[in-house]
Amino acid sequence: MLFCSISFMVFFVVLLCIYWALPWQRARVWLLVAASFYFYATWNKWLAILLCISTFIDYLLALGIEKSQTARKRQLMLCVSLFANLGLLCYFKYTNFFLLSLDEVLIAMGASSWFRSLKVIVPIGISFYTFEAINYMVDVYRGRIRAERNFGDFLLFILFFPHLVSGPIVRARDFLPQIKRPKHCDWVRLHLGLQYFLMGLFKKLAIADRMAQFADPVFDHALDFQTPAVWVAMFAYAMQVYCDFSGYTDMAIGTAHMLGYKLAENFNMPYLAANISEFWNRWHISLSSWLRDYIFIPLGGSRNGEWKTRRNLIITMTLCGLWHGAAWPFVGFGFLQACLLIVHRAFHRWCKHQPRLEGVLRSRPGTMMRIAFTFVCFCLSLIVFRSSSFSNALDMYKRLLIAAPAVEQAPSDPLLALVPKLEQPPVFGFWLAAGIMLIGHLLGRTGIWIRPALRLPAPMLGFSYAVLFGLALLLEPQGAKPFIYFQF
Amino acid sequence: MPSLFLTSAPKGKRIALWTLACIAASQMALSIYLDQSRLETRDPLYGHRLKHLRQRLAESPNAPLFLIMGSSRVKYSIWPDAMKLHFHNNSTQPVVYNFGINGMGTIRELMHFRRLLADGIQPQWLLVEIWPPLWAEAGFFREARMIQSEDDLHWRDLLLLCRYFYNDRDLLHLALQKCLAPLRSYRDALLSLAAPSLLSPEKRREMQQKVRDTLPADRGGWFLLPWESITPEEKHRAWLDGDEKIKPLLQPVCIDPRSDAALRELLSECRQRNIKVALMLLPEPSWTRGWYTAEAHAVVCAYLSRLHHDYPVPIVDARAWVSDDDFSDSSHMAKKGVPAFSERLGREVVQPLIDDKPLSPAVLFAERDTGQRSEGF
Repeated sequence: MLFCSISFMVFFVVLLCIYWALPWQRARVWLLVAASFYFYATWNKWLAILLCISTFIDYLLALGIEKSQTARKRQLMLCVSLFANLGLLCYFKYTNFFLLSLDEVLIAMGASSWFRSLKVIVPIGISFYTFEAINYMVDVYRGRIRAERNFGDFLLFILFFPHLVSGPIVRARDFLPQIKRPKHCDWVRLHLGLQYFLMGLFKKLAIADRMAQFADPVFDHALDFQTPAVWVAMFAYAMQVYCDFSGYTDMAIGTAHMLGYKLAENFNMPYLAANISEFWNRWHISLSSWLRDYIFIPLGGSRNGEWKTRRNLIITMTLCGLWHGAAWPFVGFGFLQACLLIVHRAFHRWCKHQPRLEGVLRSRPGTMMRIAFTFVCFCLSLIVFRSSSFSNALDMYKRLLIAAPAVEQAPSDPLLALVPKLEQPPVFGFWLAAGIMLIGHLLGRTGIWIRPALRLPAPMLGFSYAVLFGLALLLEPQGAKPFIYFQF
Repeated sequence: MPSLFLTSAPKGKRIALWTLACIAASQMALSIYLDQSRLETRDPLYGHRLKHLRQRLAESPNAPLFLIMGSSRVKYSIWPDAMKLHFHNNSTQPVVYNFGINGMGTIRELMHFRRLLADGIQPQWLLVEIWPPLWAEAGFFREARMIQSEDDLHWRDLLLLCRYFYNDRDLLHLALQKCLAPLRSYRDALLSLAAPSLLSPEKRREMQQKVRDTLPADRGGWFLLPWESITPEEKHRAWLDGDEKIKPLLQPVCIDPRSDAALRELLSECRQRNIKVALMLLPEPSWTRGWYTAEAHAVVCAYLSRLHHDYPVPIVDARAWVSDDDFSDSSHMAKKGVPAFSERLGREVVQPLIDDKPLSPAVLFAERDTGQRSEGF
């Protein structure tokens, strides 16, 4: 059930009405648990049951950790939990990847093929809820939070459907207290949730899915296209992946708000970041902060000299890449990000001894240049992320830099090169979506629209929201595509 | 992207309620607009046929309508303009119109008949195709499948669909979605009106093709068969196709209660409205007739006898009117066979029905066929 589907909207409206009609707080919690289970079970009921079982094991182990007197027992139980959570993640998501990689190595060494791939379905959102369970167990182990006594509450923390399949990755210390807090139907939050949901819906349907039309064919057959088309596809994919994921997050935050819960922000206009370090503080914030807290800092962070910091960055970001998917291009993407971060650190330190250069870079034109440079660097690294293999990524890079042999006269508009030897693609759609995104960023950055909007009467605002909803549905190209981050 | 803002609770409530109201009102207004003013955009298949029929009726004001309904076998086989009908000079010549639609079985015949009545089309005569493979409500010709792939669903179809397909959740879900969320369901059609440049070339081509497919080849509603099997290889492929799609539905013949109920409902409604009805078994090639087993033949005969007993309407048996050479596949007539067949249908069925004369016993399905395997089967 996609957030942008009519069936989800009907499901959510019905749920919302029943939820706020219930007078008992506990009944609301169990209603949300049941609704979340149903939400996941519409995709696969057996995996929904498995998820509940693994949650129950974590629940018991956390209680055990808290009650046990000796450090050894606590460590043992934490290890059991980590083993169970990561074991499930590895089995479902990474087994075939490791087996096939090993097989390829053996074949390269002259041996015959040994392994067969397992026929397993990767549970939607497994990477997200595994990380949530791990943060809970580690925090209980470290004594930062108390183990949850109420199984219903703990089940809701893991299963809560707005964040279940694509995050944001929720911290137990933020979410569990919210479940206990008494709730009442708050129109301020309902209105806020509505704004989030509509904005997310528009980003997903009108921008992300439209941009996919320009990115997908080129990434599939890069060498069939001309250089300008490949550049356009690269930028289109950058806009697609951002609007797809941040759109999902907005809808998740919006639905959670309407149910009286607050989820953490996951994006903060990352394409306006002036360097790659800032970018990762603005992009998929819940994952970045999780990796920082549970991998980078435990490894030593940046406290033990430059070389160890570099090592820690490489480990953390490579794992970040692997978290995204069981394929070498994802690993390569993570490694590239680590390299960019290392280069940025070095450049940053060097600039401190170059006051004139630093002054230029910090000026308004310099900042704009840094923003553009950061954006292009990230877009270039996204090619590895989007490509199905390194050879496909190499084809993309090749076509980006080396023009295709001139078979016929290149079209004047680079977008016309997107569909070679066919007819004109809907170029207007590209510029429209890109323009909306640019204007959205400018408005968001300056906030100049808020004061006039606040003065508008309620019917006018309601009408505007209905128009936004209508435009999202109308501008969606052809049937909603699944969210990119569902596969992670 | 834009940062969001908070309002006071009362204003938040008003905004949320206004949003819901505006969304609901806009969907409803759009649904009504598409139904009333843009039927061809909303439902090209039905909308263009209706428009064409209205244009035909406008050419002969006050002329009574002789409507022929059925599947693609009717659509491609009956050419009203080839019927050499004779009328007295002082009488108004009726308009004979072919309203055949691909895969139309009895439930869809009833659905489209109701739509036509609701749109002000009141036929005086109705010739309805009956074809045993469509009675099973199974396999390739399952009407729920046909409705999902061919028809658009209107508000007025909902009750009928609920009665006949109450256990088909997918179909009802689709029908509700089309009625309640027209903006999403008819996005492509709306964009083709307002901003065609936002549609992909493939989608634009597909929509143009869809419109072309709904425009009849002549004023009487007849369509040219878009495929013709000419070479022996093509004919063999067509035979194999029939063997796969039609033969399993004849061995044995199953009569789904819904199919029977729809036909009876159609006949009852015609009786109430004083519309003269005839049922018709259209021509089939000998190999298709050979697919009917003795049991299948008995089932068909017994069913038609029962139907004839309950509703004494003429049942025309034209199964063997056309030679095998004039067929393009296991069920559709080739273009070359159409004029002769239409001319004979006009002479032996349409003309007597219009003149209110009894049909010749030679063209009628005879109860005596029951239990014995005639040449037809």
